[in-house]
Amino acid sequence: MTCPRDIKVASSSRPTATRDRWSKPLRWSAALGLALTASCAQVATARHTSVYTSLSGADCTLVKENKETGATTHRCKGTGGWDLLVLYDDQRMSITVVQPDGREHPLNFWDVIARGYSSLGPRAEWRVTVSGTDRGQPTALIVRVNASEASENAAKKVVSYLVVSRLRGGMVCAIGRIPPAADANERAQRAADNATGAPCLAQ
Amino acid sequence: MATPAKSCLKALQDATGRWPNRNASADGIMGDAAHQARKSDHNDGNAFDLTHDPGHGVDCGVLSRKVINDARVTYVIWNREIYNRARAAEGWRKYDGANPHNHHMHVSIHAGSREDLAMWPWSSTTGHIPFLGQLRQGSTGAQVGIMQKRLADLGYVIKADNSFGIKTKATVMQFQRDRGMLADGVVGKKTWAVLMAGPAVRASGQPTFAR
Repeated sequence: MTCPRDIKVASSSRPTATRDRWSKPLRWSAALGLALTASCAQVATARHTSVYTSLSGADCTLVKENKETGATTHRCKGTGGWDLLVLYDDQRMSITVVQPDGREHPLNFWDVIARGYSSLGPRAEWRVTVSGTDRGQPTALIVRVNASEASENAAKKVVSYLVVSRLRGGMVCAIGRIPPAADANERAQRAADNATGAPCLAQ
Repeated sequence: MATPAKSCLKALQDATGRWPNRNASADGIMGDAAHQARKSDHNDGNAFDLTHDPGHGVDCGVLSRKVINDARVTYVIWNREIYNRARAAEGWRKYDGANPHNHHMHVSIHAGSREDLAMWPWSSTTGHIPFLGQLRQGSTGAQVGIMQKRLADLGYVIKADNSFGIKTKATVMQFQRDRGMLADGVVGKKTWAVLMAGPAVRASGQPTFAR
């Protein structure tokens, strides 16, 4: 879609009384103009790129360990001042997002993705804006969660999901769980780039 | 290579036996390959996770308070609290691991209790003792002992010595004849199920089945 740069739209500062006197065709064209402008603004700010960071090894620092049970928390460097806390406890993993100002947002994968055993993929994909005032800021996060969906003994079935979490434009939370598919990466990125307003995954 | 402790298998199987429709989505014994390098009793098969499903009878709030009294257990985690039998004087303590353990109860056991097939608090007094493999003349071990004890409880003259000898075989054949089964003296799945599904032990020690 090509965005026209010179659409003339009636100013919303026009007094209400005057707006109310517009003819019906004029109101329709104004509404269309506003819609086009809003749509183009969305396209303009929806240009993203991916930044990948590690979820293990030397890029992460152990910040907490329960010696009795082996539960650990590692802090892993992210991008744009954001970090991730990688949580391991009782054969299950999750992530807590840390904003640049230090605020923490648990994504609770063990509630919303898998209640059984789980592990994370080696990297986090950050969807980052490439233009505008938020340039360089991440808007969404994609990580791989390998979920064991076996019920009891040996015959484990591990399903590898791409989990999409929103970082801006609403509450920080997981908003998508993409099952294995040839186009899973593209679907995850599309979900990440349209995460604003998407409902959080229910527990 | 580590294998799941039989006592842990029994714990989950007995839970399913008692509550057949229970949710088992958070169940587990053996550790995930991705976590083998970490400290976890699951990696040795010496722990089990039981899914909390009060709607179908599995209330880990209740079961966690009972299971801590089992001598096989080392520690239990449930709903942000941990109870370690080695620190029993401290009772239930706040658990600061990241997982709240509110969808499942974690139970770790002593390595020396792996073969201990005693009842769990949720085990039925009869039945639901798992079948772990065919028993025949020459077999030995705890499973043979359980089978012999069950036959003795039912009134058959047999000694529980964990060894499947010629006398045990004769007793098994008699049991099979009494139940209208093929009397081959081998305890397979069917014989095991019939043996374990019998009525509770009589205090008099009299045979439960008509002979």
